[in-house]
Formats: sequence, structure tokens, C-alpha cells
Amino acid sequence: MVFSADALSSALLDNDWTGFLLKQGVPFLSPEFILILTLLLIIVLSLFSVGKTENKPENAINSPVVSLLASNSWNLAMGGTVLALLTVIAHYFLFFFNHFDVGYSVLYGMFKADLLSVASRTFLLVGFIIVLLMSKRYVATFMAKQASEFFAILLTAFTGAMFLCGSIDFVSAFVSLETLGISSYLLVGYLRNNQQSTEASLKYLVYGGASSALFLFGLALLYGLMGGSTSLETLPLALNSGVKELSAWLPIALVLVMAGVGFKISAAPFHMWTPDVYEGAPTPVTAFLSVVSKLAAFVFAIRFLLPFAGHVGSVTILVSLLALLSMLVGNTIALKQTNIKRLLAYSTIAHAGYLLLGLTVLQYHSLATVLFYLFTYVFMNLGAFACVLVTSDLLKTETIADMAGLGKAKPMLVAMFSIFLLGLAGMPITAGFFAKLFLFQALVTENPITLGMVLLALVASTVSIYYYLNVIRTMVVAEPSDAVKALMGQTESNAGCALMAGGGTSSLCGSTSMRWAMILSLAGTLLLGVLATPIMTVCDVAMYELIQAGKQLEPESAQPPANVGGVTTSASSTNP
Amino acid sequence: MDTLVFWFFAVVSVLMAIGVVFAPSVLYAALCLLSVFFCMAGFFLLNNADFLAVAQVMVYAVGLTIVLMFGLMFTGNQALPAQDNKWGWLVKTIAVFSGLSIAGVLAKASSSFVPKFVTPMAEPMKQNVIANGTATQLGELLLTKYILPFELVSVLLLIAMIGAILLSKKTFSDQGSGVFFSFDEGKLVPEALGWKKDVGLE
Amino acid sequence: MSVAVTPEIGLSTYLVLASILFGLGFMGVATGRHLMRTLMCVELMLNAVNLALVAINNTVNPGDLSGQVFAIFVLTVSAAEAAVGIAIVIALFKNTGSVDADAFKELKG
Repeated sequence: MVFSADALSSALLDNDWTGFLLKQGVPFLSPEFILILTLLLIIVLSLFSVGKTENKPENAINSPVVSLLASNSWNLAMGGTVLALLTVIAHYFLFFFNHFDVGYSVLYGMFKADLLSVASRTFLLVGFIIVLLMSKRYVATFMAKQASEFFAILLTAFTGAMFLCGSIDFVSAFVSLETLGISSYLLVGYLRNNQQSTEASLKYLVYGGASSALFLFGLALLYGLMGGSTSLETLPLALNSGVKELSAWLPIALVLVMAGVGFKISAAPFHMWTPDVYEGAPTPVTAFLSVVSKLAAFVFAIRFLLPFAGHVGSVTILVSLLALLSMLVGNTIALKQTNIKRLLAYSTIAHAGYLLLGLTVLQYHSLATVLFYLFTYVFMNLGAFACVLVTSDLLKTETIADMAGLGKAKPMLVAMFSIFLLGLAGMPITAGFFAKLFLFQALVTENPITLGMVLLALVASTVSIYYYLNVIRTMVVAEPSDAVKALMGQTESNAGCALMAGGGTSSLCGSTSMRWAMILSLAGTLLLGVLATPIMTVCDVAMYELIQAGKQLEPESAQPPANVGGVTTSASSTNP
Repeated sequence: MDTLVFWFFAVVSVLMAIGVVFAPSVLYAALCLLSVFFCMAGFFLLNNADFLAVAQVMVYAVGLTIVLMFGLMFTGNQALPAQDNKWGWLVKTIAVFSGLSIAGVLAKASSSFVPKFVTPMAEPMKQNVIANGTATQLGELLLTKYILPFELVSVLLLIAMIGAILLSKKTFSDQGSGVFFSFDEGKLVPEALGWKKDVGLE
Repeated sequence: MSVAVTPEIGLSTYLVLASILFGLGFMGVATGRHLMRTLMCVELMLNAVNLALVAINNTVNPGDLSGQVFAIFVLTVSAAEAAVGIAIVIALFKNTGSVDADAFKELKG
């Protein structure tokens, strides 16, 4: 209690609130505060929207401003997200001019504002903007009356992901993981009159609940091992002091925690929910889960596993086992999928495998390439899901066979879809190629022992090229299916549409927001390949700083961490 | 005395947990869960967690059990039809085996737990906590060190409440009026709803 | 396994008890057909975690109640999860008229 009460009471005595907040690094949380304020605003204003008050006119507020804001929850959400992105970008300048070499502990060591969290939050926000663009018309079509609540829940889930990127404390990690999780259950089941959607939501909830319980039991064991401290920063201290005594315990705690994290990143054998949830959920939500959940959970996995580097061999064994299983399961089962969303679900599992491979070495360059891979994956996967959304809306089906010959009806759409799929397959020109190249290169140079696994990963990604190309071949080469023929008939009778814009029945692909989502993802997929060097440098610096910060925490000689619990907060931050 | 109370609660909680898993009727399972919750509160009291024990009774034993009962009333406490799944027994066996093995591995590890990092001052600290109660310190921790998760969990509770109400509301119509997009191009096309048809039972 | 009956109940006894409850809960999640029972078993698992946290806190570092704070957060979050879970079960029941986990074949696992 010494750590907290003193700082607070002195601030109270001096009446120096701003100084107190600055000292706690609260400005570093400004993007999250903006997001939370936005979602609260959406909830409050939605009470006054026309849809909610049409049965009770006496509740309506006759103010043009209120009614304008109330009927524009999407615009509010977008505005808040863009504002948050701007503040995150401002943080880069803070970092470059102030040289927070090891990051800044925010609010009593609950959150770490270092380059890793800033960089990953930037890409999370960009990805979220694309998700919002994708969901605009979808929400208006399928859930118009519940639109504002949808965006409020989506923003909550996203806020959880943002907090997870910087969590260095068990409590804040657990709470942000569950904020992400519980809001995701709601989002998956949001089409509540649709049986697939509710069923997927229930599956997600049951698997999620069980895996979060496993995760928690692991955290509880680690809490005991660390001498009653919940901060991840005491983990190096505890590991240094008694590895031999801990050796029987640590693997169990590690397996349990990785079960929880592996669930979120959908690594085999914790992947069972993935195909069902991806298929059943509303497509924008699927895109959100496949990108945002994954990126945030991976950043937490990096933070969590890093202290174990060089201490416990079982980490390497455990993570490589997960990686190999994920690559195997993802790539083999993807081969026989007929539904495009299920195919992308298994491809997600396979990508989790490649990414986990990068966590086996736990050295800074390979971790940096994992980060880079995640950033490129944001754009490629979101683009692919945007194309799935448009295609399934045009054809009213999600089966791959029904997409045959789509290239003749919608050449531009198919071209874009092909680029995203080639990016996921790791073909040159796209950023996906550089991501895979950097990752495998870093692994082999930093630890030659992983050569065998890298070769396996290469074989696995060769297999993956087959099923990605199969989709492209079906769309471009094959004879048009009935669904496509029907579509072509509509388009002819409805001449004069733009390339991507559909005919009369389409509501999604005619929308500007959808087009912007695809253009942004395409730009990201191609530009990240061109700008690979600067972004890779940022990732390298972020990882280097993270490792340096971890080294500063380790004592020179092994000390008994008798009263570890009390000293967690003040030791870690270096004030400018 | 404490030992006796502990073993009483331990035996009751394990028996009741078995009841939660295997009781023939779900209603009985809910009642078994209720008694597990009370046993937990007892364990918390034995571990100097007085505030948590009260919170456990209020949140779990009162709040959650009632919500569960409401859920059972909504869905009907009907008996499930006999299983016709050919591989059902195999799944069951694997599940029971995995549950037992998880319990076994954890228990084996737990029984050898050496509290290596016990604070030297543990005993006086414990006496201090017993003398003062935990509520003050918990409140202080929640509002200082753990203020960030505390605020985040409040947002989570709000959203969970809104979402739960939305999902279980009585009537629901997705035939939107298009209010949301009064400023966007284009208009809503009803045919677009066709490919994900609503299958509600209303 | 055999647990030595000592005059004072140690941490390991509590942890063994928590593990047994946790394993039972896991078993219930894996076997349960009635969806309500599945939700109850998730709550059972989370309760076992709470027991472990409080017992560890009381033994290892009783002066700093961060374990109990953690347990309060677990309690809060699990209540939210249960509420959402029951809402989803009710929505699914309205759609299908069943609460049998084996009855849902719409999505092939």
C-alpha cells in the first residue's frame, strides 16, 4: 500500500492533479479514453434517435444537433477512431523527442506505453477503420434498428484490444482480454434471428469461457510463484531467483496461460471454434475477430513469453508444438473446404502457426519480423474479408463453386480478391511475400536449430498456395455458375454501373464506404511491401527496447524476491 | 476447529460440484451450484477474505443463481431426448478422461507446492488483516493501483448489460427503417435480406 | 493422490481442492448437453480459480491483497459472462426451440 497511497495523498495535499496525472502517464492512454467517450456518447445519444423514440414521441428531443448525432452512430464511431489514430501518431513524436528508452509505466504499472504498444495500436486503429468502413452498409442493411448498440459493442471490444496491447499486469491483461471476449460473443450473435449467428456465438462463448478459466488458473499459479505480485515485470525477478525449484511448476502454468492466448489467436489445438464462428458471425465481425483479436493477443503473447527467454526450455518446445500443429491442421483441412469463410478460417489458423514459429526463438529480430507479419496480415486479411462480403452479397452464397466465372462479371473485384489471396499465400509484389521472407530469414539466422521447422513451414506455405490459387482459378478460368449467370443478366439490364458497383439488387458493393475499405486494404497490402524497410526498422527498435527494458529489470545477482509484491511500480519507469 | 470446518466445506463442495456435472435435472444442478457458492464463501472466510465472502454470497449465490433460474424458466426445464450419436460415448469418455487428467495434473503439482516466496512478515501481516478487515485495503487498491482495470470493467458491465438485453428482448425486427443512413447515398433494398433469411419463431 | 491430514490446512490442500473443482467443471463443460449446465460448469471453473487466488494470497503475501482484488475482478467478469451467456442461450432457444448441445448441426464442428 505504500506505493499507491503516498503518491495519491501527496497529490491531494498539493492539489496538483495535473501533475499527478502526468506523472502517472495518463496522457498515453488518450486514444483509449477517446474511444470510451465515443462509445458512451453513442449509447446516450441513441436513446434520442428517431428509431427509438418513434413509439414515444414525448421522449424525442427537438434539437437538430441531437437528432443529427443520434442517427449517425457510424459517423461518431468513425470520428472517434480517427481522432484516436491521430493521438497515437502524436505519441510517436513524444517517443522520438523524449527517448523513452524502456517505455513508460502508466497508472501504477498497469499499462506500458512503449514503442511496441504504440506501433501495434497504430495498426490496430487502421485495421479498425477498415472494419468500420466494411460494416457501415452491412449494419444498415441487416441491423438498422440496433445500429448504435452494434457500434458501441464493437468499440468496447476494440478498446479491450487496445488495452491488451500494453497490458503488463495480470489483472489488466485479464480484464482487457475479457472485455474483448465478452463483447465479441455479443457481436457474433448479433443477428439474433439467424440460427447460424446465435449458434456460433454460443460456441464461442462456451469455448471462450473454458479457455479463459484455464488462462486464469495459469495466472493464479504464476501469481503464487511470483510471491504475490500481479505484475509481469516481476516475472524475470522470480525466474532468476529459483529456476530449479520452479521447474516442475512453470510448464503447467505456461501451458494454461498459453491455452487462453492460443484460443484468442486460434492456434491448434485451441482452434475448434474458429471455422464455426467465422462462418456463422456477421462478416464484418469475422474480419474484426480475425485481425484485431489476433494482433492484440499476439502482442500480449510476446510480452508474456519474453521473460522466459533463456530460462525455460519448455517454452520453446511448447510454442513450436503449437506452431507445427497449427500449420498442419490449418493447411490440410483448408484443402477440402467449400465455403470461402471456412477456408479463410483455416488459413487464419495456418497463419497463427507461422507467427508462433517466430515466437520460438524469442530474440529481438525474429520478434520484430513477427510484428511486421502481423501488420501486413491486418491489410491482407481485411481485404480478403471485404471481398468475401461483396461477393457473397452479390451472389447470395458463400460457396466457392458458386463463385465460378465471377471474373467475367466483375473483373475489378476479382482482381482485388486475387491480390489479397496472393498476399496471404506469400507471393511476390505483395507485402505478404516480404513478411514471410523476413520471418523465415530471421529465424534461420538467429537460431539455426529452427531450420527444420522453417523448412516445414515452407512446405506448408507451398501447400497453402494451392488452395488460394484454386479460389482464384475458380473465379477467373471456370465457366460461370448459375449464380454468376444470374448476376450477369442483372448487370446487363442495369447498364451504366461502375466497375465494382453491382446491379440493382446489390446494396453493399455500390457503397462508397465498401470501396474505400477495399482501396485502403489494397494500398496497405502493396505499400507495406514497398515501405518494408522503414516499418521493419520501427519493429526492430520496438523489440530492441522491449528486450532492453526486460534486461534492466533483471538483477545482476540472484536475490530472494521476498517482498516482490510492494516494489513493482516505481522501479520500471524512467522519467524524462 | 478451522480444520473441521474446512473438511466439512471441502467434502460438501466436491460432492455438490459432482452434482452440478451429473445431476439428472438441470434444476438440481443449479441448486448444487448454489451450495458450491456458499461453500466458497466459507473458504473465503477461512482465508481472511471477509469482503470477498460477502460479495460471493451477494453476486453468485443471490444474483447469479436467480439469473440462472430465470434462464431455466425461459428455456423450460425439459428432459433432453435420448442421444442417437454413434460416437457419443467416445466423446464422453474423452471428456471425462481429460477432465480427470486436468484435475490430476493440477492436484499433483499443487500437492508439492512449496511456498518459496512467502514474505518473511506473513504472520504479523495476517494478524493485521484479521484485525482491520479487508474492505479498507481492497477499496484503496481498487481506486489506486487497479484503477485502470476497475474503469475498464465498468465499461464492460455496461456493454454486457445492454447486449444481454438486446439479445433476449421479446420482439425484434430487423426490417430497418433506414433511419441510420439518412445522409448516405442509395436506399435500402429489401431483397438484399434474402441471402441471410431471418428464421425467428415470432 | 493422498493428502496428508495436518492439524493446519496448508496452501497445497486448498490448491488440490481447487484443482478438483476445476477439473470437475471442465468435465461438465466437455460433456454437458444442456446448455444451462455448460454455463454453470464454466462458473464452477471460475470459482475454483477464485479459491486458488484467495488461498495463495493468504499464504504468500497476506499484507498485499492484490490476489483478492484479482478475485473481485474474476467475480465481476464471470457475472457479466453468465448474463451474456444466458441471453445467448435464450436467443438460441427462440430460434431452435431446443437447449440440447447435440441438436445444433447448422455449423459442422
